[in-house]
Amino acid sequence: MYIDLFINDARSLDSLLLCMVDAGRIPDGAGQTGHGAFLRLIESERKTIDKVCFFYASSQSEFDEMRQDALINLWRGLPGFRGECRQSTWVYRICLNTCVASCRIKDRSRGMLPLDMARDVASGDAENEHVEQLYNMIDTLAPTEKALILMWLDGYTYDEIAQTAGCGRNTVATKLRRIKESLINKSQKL
Amino acid sequence: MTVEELEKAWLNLSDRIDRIEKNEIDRERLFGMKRKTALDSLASRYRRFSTVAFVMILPGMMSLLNPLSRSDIKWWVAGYYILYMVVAGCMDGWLYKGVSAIDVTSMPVLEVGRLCRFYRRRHHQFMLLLIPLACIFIGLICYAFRFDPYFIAGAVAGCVAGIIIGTVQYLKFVSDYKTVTSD
Repeated sequence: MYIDLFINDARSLDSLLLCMVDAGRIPDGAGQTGHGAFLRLIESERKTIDKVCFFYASSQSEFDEMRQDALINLWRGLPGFRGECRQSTWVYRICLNTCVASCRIKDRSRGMLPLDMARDVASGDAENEHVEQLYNMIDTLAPTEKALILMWLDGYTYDEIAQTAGCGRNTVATKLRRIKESLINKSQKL
Repeated sequence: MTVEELEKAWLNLSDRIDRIEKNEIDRERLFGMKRKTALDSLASRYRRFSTVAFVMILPGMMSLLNPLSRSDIKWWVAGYYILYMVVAGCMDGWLYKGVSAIDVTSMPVLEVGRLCRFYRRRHHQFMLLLIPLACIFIGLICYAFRFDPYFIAGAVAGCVAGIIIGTVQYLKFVSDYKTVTSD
């Protein structure tokens, strides 16, 4: 019955994991609460996971691999999460670590996933131009610089970024200032 | 681009990323919980090579005991071979321990990046050391058995096979690391 459920209903990684935790197949170090907690986690942080993997992958297959690796690492790390930071910050860190550790050799000419992969939303030419500019500017950043700017763009505080990155707040501020200056210079050239 | 335009562009870009069609996952591998992350694969590869290196010490030791060996420097050749395998096994074992200790669930991002760079650099340095040592070993083999054409042929064939296998494995290793040298 489990296998039938899996074949018929598991159309995505999330559905598959739901089947597995319901059947008690996934080891759960956090007791019964771990199952529901993990499902709620990946549902609420789906955008973050996809976004981080998008900016580090250079192909569709690598994007899918990173997503899967990130979910596996999230599941492994869930029992050890003690609420020392916000859940979203913790997820961000694991996704960034997964991408940094698993990214393939960066060929600068290949860059990130093509922006065309993301379907266009209805917006004006000026807005599309700004999106492309931002995308191109992020593409030029080194991987750890990218980590900092992504968190900043998503509204995380300097303290949260510092905790995630593992450096001091002043270091984060300095690095972000340089990255922003670099991005501004590049945007003026474009 | 102003700050407001930047924020709007970011929201717009985030929405577009959310609309990306995602491919089906490899259900069989994940269903069997056999899926490894890229870091897991790298660590297990180092462990495999370390194990193989230590196991390959046995042929070297056996050759020392072989009464049919006619070379007058077989002790040097066998001893060098054993030493080479011990060094290679220890190097891979050290890399395995280091890479498997990288915990993406608890370490900060800069630390993970730093460790990946560190072990990748060490991997290349170890390669720079082991390749010349291997060439010396091949030279010793050819000198020790220079009057035996069949042995020479076998040594050359082994050398070619080793280069091919080594190159393939090296490229696989390199593909599992990320170049963050610009950081």
